[in-house]
Amino acid sequence: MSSAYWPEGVERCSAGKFLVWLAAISVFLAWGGYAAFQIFSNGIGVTGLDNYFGFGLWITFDLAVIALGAGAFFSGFLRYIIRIDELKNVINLAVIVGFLCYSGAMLILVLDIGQPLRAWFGYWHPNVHSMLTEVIFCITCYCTVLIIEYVPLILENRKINQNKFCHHLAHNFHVYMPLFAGIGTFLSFFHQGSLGGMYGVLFGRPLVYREGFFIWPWTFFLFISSAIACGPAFTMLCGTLMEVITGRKLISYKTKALLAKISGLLLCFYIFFKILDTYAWAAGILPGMGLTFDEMFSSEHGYGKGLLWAELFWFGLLPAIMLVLPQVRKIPALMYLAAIMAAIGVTINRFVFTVQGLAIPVMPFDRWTTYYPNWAEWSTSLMIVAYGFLVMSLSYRYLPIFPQEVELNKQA
Amino acid sequence: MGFDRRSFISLVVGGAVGTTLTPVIWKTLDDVSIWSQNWSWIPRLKYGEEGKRFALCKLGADAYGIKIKTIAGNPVVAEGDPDHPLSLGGICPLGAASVQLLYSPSRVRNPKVKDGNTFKDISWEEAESLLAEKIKAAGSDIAMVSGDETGSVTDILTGLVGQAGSKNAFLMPSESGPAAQALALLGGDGQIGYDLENSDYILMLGADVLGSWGNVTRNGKAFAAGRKKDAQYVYVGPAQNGTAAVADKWVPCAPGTEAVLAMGLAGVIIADGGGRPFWSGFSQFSQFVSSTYPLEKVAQITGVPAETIKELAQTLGKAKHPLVLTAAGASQGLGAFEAVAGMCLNMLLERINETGGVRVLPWNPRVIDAAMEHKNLLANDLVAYLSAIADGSASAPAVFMIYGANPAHSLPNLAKVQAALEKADFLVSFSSFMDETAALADLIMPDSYGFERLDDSYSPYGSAQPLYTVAAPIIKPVYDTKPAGDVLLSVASAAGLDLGFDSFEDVVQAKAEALGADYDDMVDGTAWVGTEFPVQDLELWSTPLREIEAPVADGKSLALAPVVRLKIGSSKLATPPFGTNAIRYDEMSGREMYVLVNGVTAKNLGLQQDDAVKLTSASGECQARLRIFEGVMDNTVVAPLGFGHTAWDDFSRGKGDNVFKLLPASTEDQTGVSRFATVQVVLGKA
Amino acid sequence: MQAIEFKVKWGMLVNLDKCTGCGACTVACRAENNLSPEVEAGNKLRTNDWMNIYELSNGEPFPHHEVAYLPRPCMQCGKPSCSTVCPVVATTKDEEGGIVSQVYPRCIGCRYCMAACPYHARYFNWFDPVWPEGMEKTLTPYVSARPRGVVEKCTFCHHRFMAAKERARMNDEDPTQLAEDAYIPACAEICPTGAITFGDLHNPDHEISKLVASPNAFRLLVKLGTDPQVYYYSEREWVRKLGDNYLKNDKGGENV
Repeated sequence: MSSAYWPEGVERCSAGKFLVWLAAISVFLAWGGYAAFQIFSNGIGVTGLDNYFGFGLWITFDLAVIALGAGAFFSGFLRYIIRIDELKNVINLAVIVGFLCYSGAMLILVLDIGQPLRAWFGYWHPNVHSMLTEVIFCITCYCTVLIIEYVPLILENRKINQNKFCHHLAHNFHVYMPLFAGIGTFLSFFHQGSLGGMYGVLFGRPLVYREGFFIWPWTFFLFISSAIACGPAFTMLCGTLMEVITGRKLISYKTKALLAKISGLLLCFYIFFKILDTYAWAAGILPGMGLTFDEMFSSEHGYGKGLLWAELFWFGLLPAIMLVLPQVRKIPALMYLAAIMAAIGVTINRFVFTVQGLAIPVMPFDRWTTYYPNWAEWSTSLMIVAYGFLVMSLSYRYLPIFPQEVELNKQA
Repeated sequence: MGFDRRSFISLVVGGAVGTTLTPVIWKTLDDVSIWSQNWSWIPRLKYGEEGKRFALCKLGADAYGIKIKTIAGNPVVAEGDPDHPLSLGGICPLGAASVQLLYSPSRVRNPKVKDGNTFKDISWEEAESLLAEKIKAAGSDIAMVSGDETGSVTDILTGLVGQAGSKNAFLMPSESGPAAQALALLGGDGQIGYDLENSDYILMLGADVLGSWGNVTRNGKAFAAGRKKDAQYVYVGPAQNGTAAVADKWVPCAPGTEAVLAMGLAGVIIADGGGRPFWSGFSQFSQFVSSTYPLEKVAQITGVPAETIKELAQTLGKAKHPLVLTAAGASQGLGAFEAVAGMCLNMLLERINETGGVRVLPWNPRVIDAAMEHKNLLANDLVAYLSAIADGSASAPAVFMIYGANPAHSLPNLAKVQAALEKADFLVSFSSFMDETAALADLIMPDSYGFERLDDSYSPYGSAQPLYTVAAPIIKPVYDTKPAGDVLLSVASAAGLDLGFDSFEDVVQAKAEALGADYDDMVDGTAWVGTEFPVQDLELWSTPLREIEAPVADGKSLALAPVVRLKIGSSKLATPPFGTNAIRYDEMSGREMYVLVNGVTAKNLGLQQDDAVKLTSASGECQARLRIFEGVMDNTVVAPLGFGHTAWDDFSRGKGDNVFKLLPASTEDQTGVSRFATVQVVLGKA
Repeated sequence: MQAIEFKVKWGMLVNLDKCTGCGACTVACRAENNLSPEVEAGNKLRTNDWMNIYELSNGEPFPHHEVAYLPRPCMQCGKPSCSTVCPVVATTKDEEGGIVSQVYPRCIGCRYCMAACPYHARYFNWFDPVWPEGMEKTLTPYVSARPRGVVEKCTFCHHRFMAAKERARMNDEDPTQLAEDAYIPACAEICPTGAITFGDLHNPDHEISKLVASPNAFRLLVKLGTDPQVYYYSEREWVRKLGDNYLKNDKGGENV
């Protein structure tokens, strides 16, 4: 009976199986929900954050998912503005992944700020000089754009679409999609950059401070380029993960390889400048602050140089090279591995900027401190992941996301 | 239904505009911002007229004047009193936290009597008649301890005990006891004070002048003034502390051997022709010093190189107004002979009753006939008395009254002290707080807090002038407490012991009169300052000459250097609620205290930073964390007193460990003074 | 953002050759500014200490070791790293006097300013403040009690500045030319060794304006460009050298 709600011509698992799956997801939602309740009723003190680490797992998580979610705007940009037609096969997926990443990040932010009731002060009392203000503006606006991009997908559900109004509404949304894609691209470029700028302007934090161009520190551009580099690969990984879970073919390998290629090229661009930037920082900025490269690391406290080398080479340069090589892209396992490595690399980057930057003692008589996220942060972060799985599962079951699905599975 | 582009745009734009135009959003947002500032569980501020009232801070060993800011009559914060000679505008960490102690969770809010393992609330009438009955029944089998050396409540207590025919009146150990005994041994009579303000070279032999010794706040002000006129400060002690941090020089010296160094310095000065042969006692003293304390021996005992000793002696000799302050590192536990050594050094330098030297002040006048002479009170040794009770060589008193003191936590030989207190038939605590002693008591008659009652103070130890300060109450008792002075007078009279006074105020007035001060002027906080110093006819130490007992290193154990940091608390007071944050991360980790050794010592013991360690001495054990601090001598461990409370409240209970457990007391020959400045301890992983 | 130049610039100088690290300033500051008493103050990464005291070491082993104590209020930077990044203008440096403000009802608790401040002068209310029963009666009327979720910091006892200006106006005096003792923060007032001097850095009649010119005066982390209004003083070179980071053989910097 429920098949009437499924997209046309596809197979989905039984209602019972689906409910078990949802139940498994709900466990994480409940655990995170409990933590959120504790946080709202007692204060952020229930987390592992402290005076030295005002930012921790949550901000790292936010920055990582926002970077990985960049697939949405960048695929939209390539599909609607640059008109790479091939990407129509993943654009729906990219939009949903992006929506999940951004809305998830916003949910985490609501937990993370001490006065969530005042979250809107960013609009009412904005400090136009703050990179964070720009982030607040762009993220909320872009999240709205993503909702607008997601709504027509919902309207295309077989049952909903039978409603005439909904049908027309969906159609009109589609007509204006290039406009929204354009707005989304503009907003995204800025907030990805501002997130980097947020760190780059911290002249009291030697690890993250950067000089730059006009009002934008170099991190502004590095964050944009790393995000657009990883976004397509991550979208591709999400699709592949769904294929693994559902056991059905959803995206053609050709499309996946295209996404991987886009990621590879952009990653090469990014990592080149990232290495240059790291060198300029170590040779220019640090000595100016009276500090040395070595003083920025302490393996004893969990912030050794290994993290930097991992970010730059093992999870930066290496996947970049792998993804641009057609030979590698031909071997699915290697291509997926490289994409995973790229995602890890950008996550390490966001972690280093968020956490290690705060761990370093700046006053010579201060001390290194180590940050350990606690259950309240892990559970709420996992809750967001679970939320992603939930929405994605429902979308997959009921919405026509994958235009190639019917075709691909027929062949099989 | 037609749905074209136009309808689509109207829908989207209209929806957006419509939503913004409804007042719902704006009103809600406005309300939200107001709510988020006005949570009911966040206390509101009370406004009112601001006033300043005078008060006494007796929370540490000192007793000095402070100013209390009041709002609509309620005390809110404490600050220094620029006009009081012992504050001069400064305040100590305990004084700064004093107002909030009014509402400390450990305040005893009403009289209580022991009921099995808990307490039962009783009325003041019941409590007073119960105590009066017990006192009547006890006859002369009665004893008391006071932790308030300077106040007249102590006179009432000693008077009560004396009237009952008992001599068992005691003060908590402090610097003044050994100092008084020392002066007596040298033929003098009076209370010792120090003219820090006018000295140009201050040699602090163990005396933590800016941390815990004497009039801490006034010492600080004298130091600050001295810095402007190039006075020199040399700190001698086993470890660097706040005093060492700002002194011109730190001379490492094994704990408990500072007096030996004094003898060594005396030896060098005499050898260089210091002192005059015609001074009485000079020949015996100089012979004793040169035979008993050859330089190498002093260097060996103290760990101070012979060269340094010579240098110090020479600088002392050259200074215009040098002053030597001898004390135990924790400002208690010194023997009388050690105090004698310090005094003799000052005498050799001709510093007695001189500008910038040692002053001898008249004793606290006695206004209650039955009260014990202050001099005699200081000579009574509490630790020896309690140890004797625990050992069974003295009988436990039938009634044992404790006022302004916490012997169950803050005395050496702690296990014996606690046993002795438990042996007393009827232990009465007058504590304002549920301290360890009150927790043991059979009856608690909570004294009103300092700001809730009339209080007075006569010349705390160290004061350079005779000084009498009276402080009127600032606020009515916030709980059902009564001033101990009045309670004691009323109980005494109910027990048939007439002390000659009806109220505490009468006692204070009589004392003011005895000093020739005007009581009415004084209640505003104007201190009376005396100008007369009894003439002393002193002779250098000649009888009974004996070698000062010095701790012996055995190569395995470490010498313990106990320290007092006022922010942690004092022997009367546990860490106050407003004091917890002043304790640094390198002094305490979580609920554990740090003990300090230097890197070499730690390496020898195979210990590392942050190791959980155990200190073991002949008398007990302590748990701590190890901190490697290079400002400590080899084979020495620094441990803070004042932690390890088992009563009080969450702000101090269960934090750190009580270092008094490690300290045994030995009785000094001839003087009977209990010495407990240091002990050898074994330090190992816990 | 361009730094504003003020006619009056309040400054503090802590003489580290006088500070014994006793903690009286920390305690007095709490009482004056209504910081709540903290039971578990043993976890210094969670406490709220507007005036925090650090122990400095010359790094030498015994017996060459030396020690000093450094009280750290808010530096009231001329070019604050914190106020510029606040997304909601909850902290600013725009009032005559040059004190960096903190508006508690405005703060959303994002903690970006804490991440920005290299001095760790900013504190977050991890939980609601708790005063033991009755102790709320000792709250001063000067600074409102802050709820959980907002950031706070030393304000140089800004309320005392307001009161001093008010007094000056009442006495027909120029509130921009306050006498040296007309406005002093609680810590400076009660310090038992008089280690803290406070005054208008631009007023030649104020002692501090002369003291900061001394070759022994220094500030923390000036290389970062924060331009702090809190100065320290020490005649010991190793102490001054701990005021900033120096490369090996690097002699530069303020008075080192």
